[in-house]
Amino acid sequence: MASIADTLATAGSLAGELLDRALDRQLRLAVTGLSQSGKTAFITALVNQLENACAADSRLPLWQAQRRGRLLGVRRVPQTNAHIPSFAYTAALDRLFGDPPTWPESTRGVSEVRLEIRYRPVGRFARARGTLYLDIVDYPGEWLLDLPLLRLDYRAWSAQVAATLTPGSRRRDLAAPWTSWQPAAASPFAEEAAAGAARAYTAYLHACRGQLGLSLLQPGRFLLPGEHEGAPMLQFVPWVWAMPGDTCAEGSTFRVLEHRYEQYKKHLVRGFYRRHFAGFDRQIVLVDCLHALNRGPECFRDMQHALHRIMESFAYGKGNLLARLFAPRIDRVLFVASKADHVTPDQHAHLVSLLQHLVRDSQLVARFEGVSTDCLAIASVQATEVAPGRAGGRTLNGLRGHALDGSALFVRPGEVPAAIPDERWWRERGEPFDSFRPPRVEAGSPLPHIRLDAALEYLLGDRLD
Amino acid sequence: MEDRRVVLEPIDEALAEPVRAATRTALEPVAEEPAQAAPEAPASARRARSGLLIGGIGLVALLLLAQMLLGLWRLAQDYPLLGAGWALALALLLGVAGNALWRFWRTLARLRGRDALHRQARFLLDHDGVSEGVAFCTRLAELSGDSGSASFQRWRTALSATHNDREVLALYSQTVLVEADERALAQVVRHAGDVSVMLALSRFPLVDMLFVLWRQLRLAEDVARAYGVDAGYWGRVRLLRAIVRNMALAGASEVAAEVGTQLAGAGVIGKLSTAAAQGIGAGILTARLGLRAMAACRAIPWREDERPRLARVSAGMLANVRRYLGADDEDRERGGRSR
Ligand SMILES: Nc1nc2c(ncn2[C@@H]2O[C@H](COP(=O)(O)OP(=O)(O)OP(=O)(O)O)[C@@H](O)[C@H]2O)c(=O)[nH]1
Ligand SMILES: [Mg+2]
Repeated sequence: MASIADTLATAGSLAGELLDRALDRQLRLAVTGLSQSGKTAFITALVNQLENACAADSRLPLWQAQRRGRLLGVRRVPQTNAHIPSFAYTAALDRLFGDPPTWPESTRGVSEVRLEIRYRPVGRFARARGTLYLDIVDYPGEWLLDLPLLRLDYRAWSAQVAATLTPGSRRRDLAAPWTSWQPAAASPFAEEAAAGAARAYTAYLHACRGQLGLSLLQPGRFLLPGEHEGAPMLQFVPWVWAMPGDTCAEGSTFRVLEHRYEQYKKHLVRGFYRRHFAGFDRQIVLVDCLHALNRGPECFRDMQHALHRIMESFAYGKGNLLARLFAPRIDRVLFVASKADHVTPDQHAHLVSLLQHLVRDSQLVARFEGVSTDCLAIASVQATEVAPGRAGGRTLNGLRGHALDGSALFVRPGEVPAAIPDERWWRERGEPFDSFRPPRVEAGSPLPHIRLDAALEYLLGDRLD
Repeated sequence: MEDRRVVLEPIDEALAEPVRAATRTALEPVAEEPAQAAPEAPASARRARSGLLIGGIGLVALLLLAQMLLGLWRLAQDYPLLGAGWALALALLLGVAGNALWRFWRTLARLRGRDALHRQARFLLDHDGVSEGVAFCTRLAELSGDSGSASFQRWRTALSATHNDREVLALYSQTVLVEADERALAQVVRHAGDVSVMLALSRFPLVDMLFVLWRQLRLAEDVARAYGVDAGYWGRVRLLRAIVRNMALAGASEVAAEVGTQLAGAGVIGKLSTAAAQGIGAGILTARLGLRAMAACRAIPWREDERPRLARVSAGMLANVRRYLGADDEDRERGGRSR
């Protein structure tokens, strides 16, 4: 008799455990942004804030769960995909707390981090404890621009590239080394010449980024090949010469380049996104508006373009090639203007307004598909301190911090345009916005930030009820 | 000049005008703004209707008074002492209700054109300013006597120089005002419970009306005290109209019909005598009025998910009232069956 009762009791507790596990939820957060937009800094800061969220010196008042004391604790746990490298959190943190503090290095490969968030659910009949697993992927921003390639065949992509080489533009000058190749489409493929052109094309992409500050550079793996360096599928160039008809034979230059482009898409792009980008629940899109404003109108338009292409690929609705990958699940998208600590707080509203203009179309599409969106100005790590200072007999609110080279800086940056800047703004714009190195923070305390808690509230808030 | 980058020099801290200090009051200019004409525009039709309502209620009250006096006179012929007792009770009730009404009215007259706090809060919430939120909330805390409280300190430490006015106000609302919410809610539950019990016991419609009038006026005042901010002229006018309407419903024994669904939701319908249902119905009406008074007084409006729910308040009230009425009811039921 007793043993039956025991068995039943065991079965009961097992069922409860299974139920608990079924109720334990997970959330995959897509951190999206062009290269240098602040993805790695954001992830590092997020992990840092979460790990310190229950400490006495935590400062996340705009995050309800934290303010109401419903958070029990957060810790890093091994991610489910054991074959993917872990996000180098400690290395990034060591740099931020170093002497002098420095920003995390530019990302060169993909990595993942998983956080276990324990909280006390609300409601009378709620479980005593809830757990939410938060999964985040970090990757080089360059690779993100491969995503739009999935919807383009070789001819369409080549046409897009050709359209950017307008006569007289600096791009066209920079492109000369590889556009001078001028192969005949139907001639037999010549390996050496093609490899040379691909090298010249790669150098061109680097120059576009380094000299012109452009972002819309494809294919992304040419800039950062990772372990695929030297593979034939990384040796092709867009066909910017006279487009041949459908008559090219197997083995002709055009057909081989086309084939390599398709191989690139198949093995590097599709595989990558299937492995790392599937099943997102929430998305945050980081946009570095200030950098684009610093670089000038061409760079700004280019960034706008690049963002638009990326967001187009995320198209949340049905009927899209990638629909099965993303669409059904992403129900919230947060657009943020990153590095808001580079301007004084009174300019944050302008920054948000500028961002809203930048991502207007993507926002409309997302809303139409029932995805809710919001815009915020944040700083993952607040590198500056707001303080009043004197200039020309007047007292102004300014920013105090250290430039990237370590020299002390106390400035009031210029005004941020509240909409896409027009000719006149570009003509009359003042000095560029300064960049700052990370602040000195006492070891063990959470990093200072701007509105990271508001971002957390938007991205996770409803999942912790 | 303003939109260009300038290098700043440190200022002598002592000479510096504080940039976001709590004392900087940009509050006054808004307060002196003339009252908006908007709410007055559609007034003529409404005034006619409310005139009719008040006239009707006056007439009913007069008739009820006559009827009650008649009843009292009859009662006094058989039982002089009981009659005198009732007369005294009625006179007392008339006195307190009249006094409450008079005080409410006087404040109302004083408040004409002074909805400044509410208007400024709305302005700050709708705009992307960064300089006035702290001063505004500090002023609110002074008015409500919260400036020494622990929650106010918590709010101050949560603030940072990078928060905009909307965030400052939201934080104040969620840290400091939630405590005023609790105080106000306690008042609502208390008054609603009193009304419930009284109306379930009383058998005179005039007493019901006067009691409802008196307690709801008091409730409105108590809620305003909990927040330290008044509902303002138009807020008070709206509250007074609701109170008068509730009083009329109580007099006509119509409250059960008015809040029927809520009664059903509370699971009490059918189990109660008519009088008890009338009492609980009036309690729910009072709770509803209390919530309206809270919404009117709260300078920073609730976000939709923060708004206290009537169902929750009524449940709290019912739990209190059941102790009185539940026993009472069962007795009556048992008695009925045995007869
Ligand atoms: N002041 C400030 N600067 C930031 C912040 N976040 C990023 N930055 C700056 O932006 C640079 C790039 O940030 P990362 O986080 O490495 O950008 P990323 O998107 O990961 O870039 P890739 O890895 O190259 O794709 C940093 O080196 C900082 O200089 C921030 O919150 N505040
Ligand atoms: Mg990175």
